[in-house]
Amino acid sequence: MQPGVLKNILRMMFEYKACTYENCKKSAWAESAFCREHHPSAREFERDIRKELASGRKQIESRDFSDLDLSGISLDNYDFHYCRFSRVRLSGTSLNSTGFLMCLLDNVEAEECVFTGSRMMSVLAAGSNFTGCNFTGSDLININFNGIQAIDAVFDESDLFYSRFINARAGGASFQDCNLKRVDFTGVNLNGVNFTDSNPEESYITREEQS
Amino acid sequence: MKLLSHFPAIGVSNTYIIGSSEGGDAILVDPGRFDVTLLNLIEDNNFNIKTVLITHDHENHIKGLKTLMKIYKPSVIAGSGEIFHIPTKTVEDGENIICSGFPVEVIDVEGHSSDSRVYRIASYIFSGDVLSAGRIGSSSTSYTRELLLQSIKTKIMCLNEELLILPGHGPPTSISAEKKWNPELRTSL
Repeated sequence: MQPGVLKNILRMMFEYKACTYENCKKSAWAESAFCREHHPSAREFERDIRKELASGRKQIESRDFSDLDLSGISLDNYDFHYCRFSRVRLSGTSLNSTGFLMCLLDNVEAEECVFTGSRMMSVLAAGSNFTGCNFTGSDLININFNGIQAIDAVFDESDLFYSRFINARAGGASFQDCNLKRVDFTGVNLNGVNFTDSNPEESYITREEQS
Repeated sequence: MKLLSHFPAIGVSNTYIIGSSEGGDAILVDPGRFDVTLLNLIEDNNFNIKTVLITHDHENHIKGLKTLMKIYKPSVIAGSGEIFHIPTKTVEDGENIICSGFPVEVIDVEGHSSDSRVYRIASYIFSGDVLSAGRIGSSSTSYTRELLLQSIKTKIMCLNEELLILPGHGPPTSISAEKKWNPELRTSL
């Protein structure tokens, strides 16, 4: 191995890290060496990260917040670049005008969250629960929403260019006055979905999904 | 380590840059379009593009290569011997090479195009057109489609589920997400 190679591996973002507890096969929690279950001081660890996030530093890059409970805090106007939020709980979290560039928001529990005016680009959000969420007035460009729960979610006045909702559940969702160019709704039951003043004809919808 | 992505409004093919947080020698994956935004992304991070990885030689993944070569003079790694008369270092399935200080594993995934290569750099898989969020690459015949499905199944889907897939088109995904939500893979896995 050439000099510098190991250093580069160790500093890799989004790196998969296993829990270091003996025989545990779960992935490590946030930036610690352990999974949540085996962390020696889990409550303090989570409290410190919530405190740090609430301290007001608005631009955050290359951090791992996986598996944390970030419920109830305000992340309004924050800008997250290349951050990981896999399996995070966001119950009651306020995310008005929050930016996510190339972030991982997969399998997030975000029911009834407010994402109004958010700016997302190239984000992995597959498998997340966005039931009842409000994304009104957002830029949601090139987002992987595959498999999400978006029951009664509101995406009105949003630009969803090139995003994918393959096999998502979107009953009662609203896409009024949206840009839907090259959005992929393959496998989505669109009965009851509101597309008023939008351009679903420029998205990928199969005949069965329209019926 | 820094991973940067560029999503141009024209062509909509993703370009990725991998380099050290301090700048210096870097890898660029698929120069589909070389525009001012991409140039600024490279220069603002003090990168010198030393290696270009080509996933396959379709025009929307290589159109920016000639301009890139004039500025940075990188070595080009691909599955085909030359691109726009620029000689490349051809790589085959299972090869492990060091590019700009990073170990790169080459995976040959047949079925989309004869020169398709997937590159794994630690936790990232640069999949080109063979696999993207909820879709697989196009194939010209039912035989090549089956070949593609089998290659994806035996060479990519068997890897760690937390690995991040960075495709040539569309948003990032993961092996875990593709196993659950990709309709074309769900029927064949």
